[in-house]
Amino acid sequence: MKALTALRAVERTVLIALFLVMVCLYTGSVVTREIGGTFASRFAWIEEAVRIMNLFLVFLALGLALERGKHVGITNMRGKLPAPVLSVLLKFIDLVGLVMCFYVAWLALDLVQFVLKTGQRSPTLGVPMGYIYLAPVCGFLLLGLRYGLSLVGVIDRYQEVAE
Amino acid sequence: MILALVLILAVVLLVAGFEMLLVLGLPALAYKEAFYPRLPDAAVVQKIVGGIDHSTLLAIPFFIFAANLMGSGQIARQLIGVVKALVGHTKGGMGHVVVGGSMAFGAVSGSAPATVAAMGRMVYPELRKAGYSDRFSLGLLVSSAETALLIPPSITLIVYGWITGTSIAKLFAGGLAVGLFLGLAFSVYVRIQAARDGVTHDPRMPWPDRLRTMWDAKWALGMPVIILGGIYSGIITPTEAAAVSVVYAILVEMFVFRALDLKGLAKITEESAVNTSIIFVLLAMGGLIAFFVTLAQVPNEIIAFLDASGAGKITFLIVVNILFFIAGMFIDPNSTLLVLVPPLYPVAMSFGIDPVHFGMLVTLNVSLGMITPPFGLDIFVASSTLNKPVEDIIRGVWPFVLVNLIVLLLVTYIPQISLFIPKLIYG
Repeated sequence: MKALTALRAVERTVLIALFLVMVCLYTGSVVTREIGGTFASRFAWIEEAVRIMNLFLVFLALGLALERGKHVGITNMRGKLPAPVLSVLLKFIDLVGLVMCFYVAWLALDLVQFVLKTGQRSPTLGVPMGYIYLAPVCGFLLLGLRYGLSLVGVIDRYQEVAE
Repeated sequence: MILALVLILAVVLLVAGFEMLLVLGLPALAYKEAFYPRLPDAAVVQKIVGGIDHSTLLAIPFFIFAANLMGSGQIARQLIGVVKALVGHTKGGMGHVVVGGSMAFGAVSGSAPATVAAMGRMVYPELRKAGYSDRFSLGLLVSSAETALLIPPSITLIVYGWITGTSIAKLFAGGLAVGLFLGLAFSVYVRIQAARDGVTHDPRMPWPDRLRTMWDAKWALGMPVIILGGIYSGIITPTEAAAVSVVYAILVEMFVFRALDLKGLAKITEESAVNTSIIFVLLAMGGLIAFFVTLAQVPNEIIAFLDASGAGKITFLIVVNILFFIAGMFIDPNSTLLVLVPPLYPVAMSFGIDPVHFGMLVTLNVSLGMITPPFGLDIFVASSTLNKPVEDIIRGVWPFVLVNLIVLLLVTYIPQISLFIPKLIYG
């Protein structure tokens, strides 16, 4: 549990930092453009940087969102099932989620290796494109981890359903 | 046969309560394996990432962030105060305040569930105090929030603009017209119900007091001025307006209202990141579905079918309304858009329908879905916010669904309603 608490703290810190930096950079780009001249052209990288940061923000928050029961789903009908059937169904959802997430993470890791070999870089920042595809790798691993922890009963992401 | 199995799989996952990311993702992966086994696996991830790696979409996280800041601080409260000062004295009083307040909050948040949650707590007790029935109050609160999906900035319109390549600024202009039209229709119903129930209303506020209320809310009123004024003066793009609105909300809530400290800012930032992730993972999976829809040439199949059946524009629009209405009853607005717009948009264009008009039609439909039983999301948001049984809210919502259907029919067959503001601004 200590490891999980530490992981949550890291996720939260990274998400907060990423989001605030995104806001500052994007607003800063508006200000520099209004100042105008050649000065603004030095900040052409901002849009690309914010887009990349947004990718990491989205994927890195997937696990926390699942843990908090925030992902959208139509849960009304399953709520009417008898408790034993519901319990089996919820475990099955966790298992399917776990398998799909690890499968997509594996596909994404494949893509990271492939793109890194091509030497492709982003247009304005010059970041190797392979690193950008690390976002879905990390994101789906974190999401898969939460499905797995829910499957073995370490976390209770269905608290509302159980009530 | 395989396609039918994939569709059945999607429906089974949906009904069984799987997360929408699985409902969209699993059938897409199964479809890929069944029909395009030679397609490189890397393409799947590229489409997932490509589904969200677009600068237009950056407006969404920023608007979500700004809405969360305003909803938990003073800006939303002050905006509603201004509406109350302006229309609280009219026959229908608080009812009109709810409609106007939802539109005002929608004008800075872009999210219907956020509007239901923010408005519900603030105005439900006052609606009851004014003499409105419980059923009507609940129905009005849930339904008025729909205008948030139309009044700019609207997250739904941004998603539609991104899918179809339509100008977000033009869509926002169309959304303003249709949102105001829907709000007006709700106000007419409020007026009729107020006469029936004999509800009370505030005394007319003298103009000096109204002006003072507006002056007191100057910082809150600055928000729509920045967003709408910035976009339509051409100074900033919708995405830039969204980012600037976050900075403005932080500065105003922290240093003017002193309603936000660093700890609160961190909490709201984190919540906003999670909210963003929930929407974007659907967009990512939707990117994958849109890719396969294009590969399978579904739009061409639909056009060929309509040609063969001799169906015209009117029939097509009826079919679109029915499809979106039914889908909206079961699926959230963004998922509905992601699944249905890619195959239907090219068909709409082939009939010469204006992209902005089609966008209004689609958005009005999905916003109607948000309040339509059995699974309208706003019904459940109101139920948890106000601690009211879902059944009570559903009973209150039906008359508003009817009002909404009338508006939908008018918007569908009178394109000028959607297009007069965009034409006024852009010619």
